[in-house]
Formats: sequence, structure tokens, C-alpha cells
Amino acid sequence: MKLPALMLSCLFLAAPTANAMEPDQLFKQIAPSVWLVRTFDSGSVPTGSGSAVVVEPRRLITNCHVLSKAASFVLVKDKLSFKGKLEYVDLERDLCMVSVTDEKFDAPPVKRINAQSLVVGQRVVTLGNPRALEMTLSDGLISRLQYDDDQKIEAIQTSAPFSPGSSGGGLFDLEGRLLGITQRVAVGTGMQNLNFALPAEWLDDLPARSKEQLDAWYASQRKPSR
Amino acid sequence: MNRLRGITLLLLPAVLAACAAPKRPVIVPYVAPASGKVAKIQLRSAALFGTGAIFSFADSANCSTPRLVTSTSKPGEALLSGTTIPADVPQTFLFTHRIQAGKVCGVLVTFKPAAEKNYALFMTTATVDTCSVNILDITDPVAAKTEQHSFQRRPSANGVETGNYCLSADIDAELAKTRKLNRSGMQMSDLKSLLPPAPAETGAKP
Repeated sequence: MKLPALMLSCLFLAAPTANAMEPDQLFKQIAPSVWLVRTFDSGSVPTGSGSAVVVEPRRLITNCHVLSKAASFVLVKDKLSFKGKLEYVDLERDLCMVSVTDEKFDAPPVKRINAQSLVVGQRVVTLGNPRALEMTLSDGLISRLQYDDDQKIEAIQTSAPFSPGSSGGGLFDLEGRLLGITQRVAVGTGMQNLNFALPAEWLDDLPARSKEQLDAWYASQRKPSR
Repeated sequence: MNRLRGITLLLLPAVLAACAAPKRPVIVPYVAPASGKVAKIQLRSAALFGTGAIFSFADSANCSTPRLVTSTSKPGEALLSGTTIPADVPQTFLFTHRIQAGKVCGVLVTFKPAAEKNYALFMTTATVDTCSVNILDITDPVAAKTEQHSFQRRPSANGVETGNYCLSADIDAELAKTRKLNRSGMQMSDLKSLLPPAPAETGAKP
């Protein structure tokens, strides 16, 4: 490769995303859209916490496992708290959409980007509430992309750290666009920083997949028990 | 034999939680089938914080008659075992991870192995909160792929919950419904209190 071409390649590789922001700017942009989910049992005793990202006006995405066995939940930020309602459920993908009926909830939806455009090595940030430590920003790289049989990304592995409570938070590019929903950590002796997010475009499938899964469940509930 | 007895006592709460049978299950060692259609299976985990064990059930639909396939003897070890299992009939396995007294996570996984195939079950996460299993078809190790039809459920978060999560009227139908591993490790009933009420049944469809 001739020197000018090599230099151009290096420049291209090193170039930040067109509208990449500094971390503090990025935080300022996305923080209003990331909320803490606090779950309660039927006796109103707190049972757990997670994260959720505003993806439409008064609608947030989170992981279903954040809501597991809860009798109710609220969305919390700073000193604000809003009662949440479960809208869509996709247990197979661990994605649940929740809504807030209170019109005072005016948190801005994030922009989204198709995860299929991701490349390994790309810089990313996560924003969530690990261990209920509200609004924790972390950064890292796309470490690996996991593809399904149709060669579509089904999991985004990142070195941006997650912890319990991060579940349902956002994985963002440096322009503040939502790439994925932080979902799980591979843990065990000898494993470090293996974090996985679900591709953001799965949100598009959520209403249809939720209807399918809920219809099947309601039908099973109507069957006479053995 | 003493080791088996110790394991039985150690893991009894998890097995009971997984399959709340009216009687205390008797846990015997798993014995591979001597004849008939079989598949091979490798059972793995990373080194565990605590101790782990894998059981298979003689009755996969009802989770009755648990049989110990393999276990670790002390914290920090990995589950590492291989055996053969009956093919073309659903098989249910229970992975348990006991971190400390009263802290047990478990996951039940069911799939239908095909004859002559080679599978690997990996316990992918192993904390108190989440245990999950990946099933791979490794017949061609270079092109290992996720088993498409399997379902898993967590019998308990901490070993204290009871309830029969194995009972299934039609295990084949359950398997047919699955497209991918259930990433949430949950059942719809786990969200029962949050779900909107079932829509009223309408008249006959055209």
C-alpha cells in the first residue's frame, strides 16, 4: 500500500463518529431518558431494581427479568417517581415495554440506530443504575457481535461494564443513539467483563411478538387444568 | 456412595423447589441407555463460585425421578461431564449452583435430542440471581449452532420458592412453540400481577 493510501486508512480508522460527543455532553443528552425501575411485591415491599430507557413518549424499554414476580413498579429519577404499566412482553428476547400514564412524565425518547451497522472495536457507553446507583455512565468497546442463523445480530458483546441493576439500561454510541438494551453478564471464575446487550431494532418486533406470546399464554390459562 | 449421599442432602432443597413432588425424591446416579436411539451430550460450566450439580429426570414432563449426572465436590470447580441420552424424546435437565447455605440457583432445560447428534449444555451464568443454560448442537464442532427448540425456566431465585415448574400437559407442544432459548429464563406467570387482564373471548372466528 502506498504511503498516502496508508495514511488515509489510518485517518479513517482513527476518525471519531461524525457527531461524536465528549462523555460529559453525551451524559447530558441521554441521562434524561434513562430511568431506574423499582419493583414491589404485593405488600409494597421493594423487591428489586433495574433500568429502563425512554424510547417513545411515555414509553420505556426494559428487560422482563427486571419485573419478574413484581406486583407493581415505578420509574424513578432524582426525586420523581411515576407508576409504571406493563405494555408489551417478549420473554424469549427478555424485552418488556412499559408505559407511564401520568402526562407529567415528559422525558425525551432517545434516538435509535440499527445494531446491524455496528462494528467490533466501536466505542460505546452504557447508562443505567447498577446496584441502584442511579445514573452510572461507563464506556467500552464493542467486543464481539453474535449472529443468528440468518446472519442478523442477536447479541452485542461489550467491554462496557454491567452489574445487577444495569439490566434494561441503554448501550449507546458516541452520538447518544441507542444501540442495545443491556441484558446480562457472563460471570464465573476466570471470566471478566463479558457483557451482553440486545439489539435495539428488536423493539420494532415487540408489539407483534408480545401479542403472539400473550395470546398463547391467555389461551393456556383458559384451558381446563388437568 | 458417601459423596452421593452428601450431594443428595446438599441439593435436595433445589430439587424439591424445582419439582415439588409430594414425596421426597430419591436421587440415584444417572445410567446411560444401553440400547435404542441415543445422542451424545457434553455438560459444562465455568468454574463455579460454589458447588454445582446436573440432574436428568426419568420422566421429563413431570420432573420425577431425578438422577445425578455429575457434580462438583468443592467450590471453584467446573462441571465437566459427557454421557449419552435417549434420542427423539424430550429430555429435561436441572442445573443447580449452590453458592452458600440457602443460596441456590437452578435452571431447568428441556429439549428433544436427535439421534446420532452431539450436544453441549453450558451453564452460561451462575450467580444467585440468574442461572441459565445454552444448548449447542456440536455435531459439527466448527459450525456449532444454538439448539432452536428448547425451553428453560428457573425453578427458584434463591432456592426457597416452591412450585412445580416442570409439569407440562404437552411437552412436545411446548418445544414446538420455542424458537430460541428463552433469554429471560422466565415464564409468563412471573409477570402475572402486571399483565393486563385476558381479553374477553369473542364469538366464533369465521
